[in-house]
Amino acid sequence: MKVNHEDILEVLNDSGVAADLTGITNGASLSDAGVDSLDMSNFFLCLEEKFDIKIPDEDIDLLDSLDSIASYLQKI
Amino acid sequence: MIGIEAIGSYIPESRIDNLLLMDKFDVDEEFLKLKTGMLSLSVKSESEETSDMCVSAFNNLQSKTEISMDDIDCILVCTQNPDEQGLPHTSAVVHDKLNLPSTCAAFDVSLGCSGYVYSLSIIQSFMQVNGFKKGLLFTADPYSKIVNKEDKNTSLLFGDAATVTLLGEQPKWVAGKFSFGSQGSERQAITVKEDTHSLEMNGRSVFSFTATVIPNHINTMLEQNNLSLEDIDLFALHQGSRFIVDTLRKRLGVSEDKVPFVASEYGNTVSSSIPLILEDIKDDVNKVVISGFGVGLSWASTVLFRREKRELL
Repeated sequence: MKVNHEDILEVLNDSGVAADLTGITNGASLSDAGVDSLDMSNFFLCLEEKFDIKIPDEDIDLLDSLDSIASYLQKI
Repeated sequence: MIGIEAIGSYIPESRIDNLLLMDKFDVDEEFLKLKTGMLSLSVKSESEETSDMCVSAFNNLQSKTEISMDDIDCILVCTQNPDEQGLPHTSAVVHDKLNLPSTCAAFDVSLGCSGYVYSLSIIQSFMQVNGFKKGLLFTADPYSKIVNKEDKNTSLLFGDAATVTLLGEQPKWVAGKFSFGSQGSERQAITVKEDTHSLEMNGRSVFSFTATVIPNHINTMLEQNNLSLEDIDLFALHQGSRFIVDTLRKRLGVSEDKVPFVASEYGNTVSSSIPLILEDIKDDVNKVVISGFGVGLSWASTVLFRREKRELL
């Protein structure tokens, strides 16, 4: 799948995440940046809807940065 | 026409203060206020049984409206945490404790968060088919019986409460067409594990289900009732968490004042959450969507019309 960091950041911001992600780096941990578990669930749902994919529960723990998510989606 | 005449409730006074659990579960006050929405949880006493909670709700109902026990034709108890092991059915225990007549039918319904809407349809139909005039719909699902206090996913969410809805021929509210749904293949998302006998919930799975299925379901139900979102004064949605209620409101595109979240001081009370909203509804509210969703996975919705207004339509 063709997807870049900007696409993912756009979905993240559009999902209404409460944490301030201004200036977040591609490798930074989203949970360390203050994105809580409920916002992460909503973010993953928004990713699934935007890219028409299904992200299994067992993959979720691996997806905690823009880098890891981009890499994951690019392999689909 | 059978409909809702009055609602009584019982919320145990004892509370679990979630603010005292923040360190234990590594959450902050903002998370409790804005996300789960539950600052404290009502909890029944150890010795208090599900049927006792039903009786307490009934006592509250009796303080609001005159009820003759001999007039009660049927009772329904909606619970998945019944007295003891569920045999005999809890409604039989309630029947005894309220000293109801032997002519009164009594049965349980096993459903969780969709249970009030399902049960309303069931008891209304049961009464109409059998020519009954008065019925009582109880909800009492004390999750304190099954919550693992070490489980972050569930122990900050659920509270104990019971309600009773009096149905009869002089209703304040009558229901429109009901709509139901099930997704049994996803039933493991909320379950009690056999080995531990404690509740387990896949929060992400329940959230995704609710956020994707329920808005479309409500819109379809409204179409079946020849209504649109704009016609509705209030959306009494199951109070799973503040986050899920907010998410549904945003996805429906409805203003905040029409979608109350009222559970912050007592928690997610499963099938009691919707009647607890209806009990305190304001006089200027005439059309209410009620929608329950959760365990099963199961969901159900309808519209309630204030009686005197609907007669004018």
